[in-house]
Amino acid sequence: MIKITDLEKYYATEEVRTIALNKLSFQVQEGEFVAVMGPSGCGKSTLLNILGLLDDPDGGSFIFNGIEVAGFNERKRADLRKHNIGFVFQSFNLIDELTVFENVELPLIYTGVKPAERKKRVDEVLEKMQIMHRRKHFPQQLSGGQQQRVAVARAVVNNPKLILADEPTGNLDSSNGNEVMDLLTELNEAGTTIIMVTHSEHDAKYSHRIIRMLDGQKVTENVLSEYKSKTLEV
Amino acid sequence: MIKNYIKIAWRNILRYKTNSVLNILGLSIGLVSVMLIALYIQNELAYDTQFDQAAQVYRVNMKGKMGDNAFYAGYTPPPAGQALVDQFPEIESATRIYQSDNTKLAYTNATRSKVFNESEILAVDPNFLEVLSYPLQKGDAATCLQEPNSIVITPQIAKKYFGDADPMGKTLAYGDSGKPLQVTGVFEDLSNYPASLKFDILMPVANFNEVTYFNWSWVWLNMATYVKLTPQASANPATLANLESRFPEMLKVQAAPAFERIGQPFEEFIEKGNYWELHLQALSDIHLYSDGITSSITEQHDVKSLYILGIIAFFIIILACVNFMNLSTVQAVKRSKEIGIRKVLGSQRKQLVKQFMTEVFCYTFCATLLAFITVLLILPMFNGLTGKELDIQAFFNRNLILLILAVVVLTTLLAGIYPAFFLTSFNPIRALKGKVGKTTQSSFIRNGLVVFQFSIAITLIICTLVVFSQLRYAQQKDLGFEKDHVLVINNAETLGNSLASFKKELTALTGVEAASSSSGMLTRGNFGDFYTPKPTADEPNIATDISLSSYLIDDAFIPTLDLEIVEGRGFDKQFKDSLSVILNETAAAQIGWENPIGQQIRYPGGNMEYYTVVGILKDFNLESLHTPIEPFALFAEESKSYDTRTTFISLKISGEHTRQVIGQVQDLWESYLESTPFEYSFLDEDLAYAYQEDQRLASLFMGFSILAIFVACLGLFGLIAFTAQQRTKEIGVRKVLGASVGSIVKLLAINFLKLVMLALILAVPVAWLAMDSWLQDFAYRIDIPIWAFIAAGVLALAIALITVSVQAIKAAIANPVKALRTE
Repeated sequence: MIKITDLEKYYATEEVRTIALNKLSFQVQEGEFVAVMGPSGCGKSTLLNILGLLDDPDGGSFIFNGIEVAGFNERKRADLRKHNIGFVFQSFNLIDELTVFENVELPLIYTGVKPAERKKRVDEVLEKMQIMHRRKHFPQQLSGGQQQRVAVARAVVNNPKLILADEPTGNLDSSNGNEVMDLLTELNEAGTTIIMVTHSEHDAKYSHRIIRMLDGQKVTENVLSEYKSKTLEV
Repeated sequence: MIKNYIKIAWRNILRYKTNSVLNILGLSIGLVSVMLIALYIQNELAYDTQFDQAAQVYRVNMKGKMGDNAFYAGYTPPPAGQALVDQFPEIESATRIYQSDNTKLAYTNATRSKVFNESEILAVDPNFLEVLSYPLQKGDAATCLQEPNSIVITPQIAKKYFGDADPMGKTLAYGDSGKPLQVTGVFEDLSNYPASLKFDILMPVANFNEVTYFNWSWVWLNMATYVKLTPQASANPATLANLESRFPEMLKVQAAPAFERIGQPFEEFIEKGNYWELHLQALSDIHLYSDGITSSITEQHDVKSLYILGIIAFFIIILACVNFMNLSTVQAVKRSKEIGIRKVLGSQRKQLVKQFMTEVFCYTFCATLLAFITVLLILPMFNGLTGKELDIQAFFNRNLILLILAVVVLTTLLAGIYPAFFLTSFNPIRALKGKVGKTTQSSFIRNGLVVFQFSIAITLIICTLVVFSQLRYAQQKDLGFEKDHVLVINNAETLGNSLASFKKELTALTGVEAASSSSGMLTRGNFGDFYTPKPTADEPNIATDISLSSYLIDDAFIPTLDLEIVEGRGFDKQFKDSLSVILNETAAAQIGWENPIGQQIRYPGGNMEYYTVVGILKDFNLESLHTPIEPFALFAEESKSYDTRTTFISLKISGEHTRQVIGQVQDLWESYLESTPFEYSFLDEDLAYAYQEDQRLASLFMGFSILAIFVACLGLFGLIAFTAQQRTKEIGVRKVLGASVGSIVKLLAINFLKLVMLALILAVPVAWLAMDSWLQDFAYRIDIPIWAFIAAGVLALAIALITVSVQAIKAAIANPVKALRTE
């Protein structure tokens, strides 16, 4: 599903040029659950931004669903993104002015789904995330765990093929964190590909494969034992 | 989608209350200004457009030069109208208007008698209403002025004299003779009728002997003439020009006998470099485009003041938009997360721009509603300021509604486009991290906008100060005569032969220091005619003729008004002064005499008699300082050099117990003249009236300047709030390190004060140029005062400082721990 080859990304200020990604290469198959780990500044978030089509690489190739997307313009990226990718952030990133229902509905609006269909799908996903009773509340009125459940609901409402999660449990206590990880696992078992950036070894254990990064490069890659049979050598 | 946009816009308005209030308030102030000024301008432009066939009607103006005196006036000689109709087939009809000085009108029935002085009486030709179709409620426009004893009145006049009874056919007594006039028509309510020619009462001009008497004259300029052209002639500028080009030939023939009679053969008169021309002015141009054309019967405004107001309205709405842009871009940081999320979720920039434009529209919509309500509430006050009678009806005008809609749409675009594109240009990753709005480019634009706003506000402050100091100067200038404590009584001509004894009794009253009578009065007009100085062996090279304005006065006039005689003497009983004249310095200088005393001038318009100069009067201004001092003369009452029908009595009173003094004077008046109302005014008030139009303009100017400054301050308030917020962490760190509140306020305020200083530097030359050109309209004017610039600068800085300090102090006294935690 994803194949990146020699991916490069630089950040330049007036004085220094920082290498965020240094000829990074790997593949992710459809239905996989991959965790990306590494210390702060190793390039995890940059990688996720590029994979999420939020940012453009400075070099290398990025093939998404068989299409080379490196060099796509903003409009094309937005189009590809809204149909295929869901995001879950550490800080939830819900829109404070919108209710739970409206936040979840938003991706459907941008993909042009009809109102009746939108209502049906939002209700379904809220039911599934067990947050239906709070549909009319605003984000500030919810606990962190509930907010992240809303964010996950919003990420999956469009049935994306890929979910990108950036430290999804970073702002949560352990029980709420586990709930969110269980949710992601369920989604993965239902067929959604997940790539997750995390600091937490505990969370990483939910995945099939862990990619460890340092200074913009991949250092190790371990396939968790029970999934070895499913994965391919990179 | 739109529903979603409106929903989130509405929630944002509610959520960021301060910001919303600043935005909506600023925009609505801008819109209030635009609406008020648009109403005003619309009303001004509507003048004289509502008559039937208004496009065919023209006023005949006279442009002339006699000796050193040039004039351009909305007056013509009495025979001009008929001559034009006779000579030129393009001219269908002509009608004349004459304003008599006699204003007394009385109604007597079995039980009681009502007498008033009516200042708005016009005497007109019988066809007047066929040329200018003022709407009648009762009576027939074609016939109501046919009979000399007819009178047509407004409903207000009807009510005043007859109460609720039907006025038609009732008899009013006019003038001192009490000539009976029968009401033959009643107008519709004309108080809101936008016409430059205003009146309460019309009567046929046939009642006025002086008009008949001067029917021969082509130099007696006391009547206005309006002509109606054929539709073909008025539609075609070329025909019109051709028509005017044939006027001089006609004048040469028609006016010759009259010029011969006053001792100025027309050909010779023209050869001497003089001119005497007739011109046509379109009816619709009279109200606004009569700069330099004298007329006391039409309401003439200067179109320039409309331009000025239009420019002010434009600037205020621009200020409000700039405000909006600035405040919205500073909101960007608060909104950046939302924008980031929307982008991540697949929103395209186009959709975000639409969303923001919808939001801006919600703001302008609220602001428009608020502005509309405000305008309705303050309209009475605005009417007081402008002297208009605008009401809600004025809004229901297609052009006005279209204009306001256009302004709203333009405001939305202007105020919205920059923020919409700025806000949506963020890279979503940066936006999510709140790292936007901190670039040097955007702060440059913001600072530029602040400088722009303050430049406009400061320019307006300077202009307001200069306008007011000019008006103050005009009203306080040593005018060359006493204006305080001088009481002027009108209608003294009614006293007839008892004038002398009345004056004698007046001087006997306590509190009355002097009493005098005169045929003219300052600001109330005068008699003007043509005189020829007599050359002598000593002084042969003098002007051959001079046009003089003059009054006939008694001996007490000069001391009562404290006029200064610089050479010779005033009139005195011990001399026989019936053939004496006193000239002002300008007249003597224009004639060219080195030693004027004892020289003579001849009056060809009278009986060719010679008047000997006995005194020279220090120059003073007869009207307002708008006009330069003209040659002026005083003749003795007993000279009877000409016949005016007005007499004014001026009293110098002590200034104490004014009320009692007036009471006594009134009692005395009533003991002489039971049926003539006692009417008086103070000379200083009359003079102030001459500056009413300037005063109005100045007040409007000031009002809108205050609004502009207020809007600019709203913007500044929002900006400093934003800066303080952006620098929360810095402020926190500085405070932890021991910075005082004062030093933090200084840190935040100093940059803004620099911007205001820069604005001041930009505003000074603009204001100087604008005011220099405005002051050119005054014959006597102040030098542009330096203090106005300093005061405006100090004022702007002070206002800015206060605005900035409020926010800066708030930021500086906040708990630093909280400040640090927010990052």
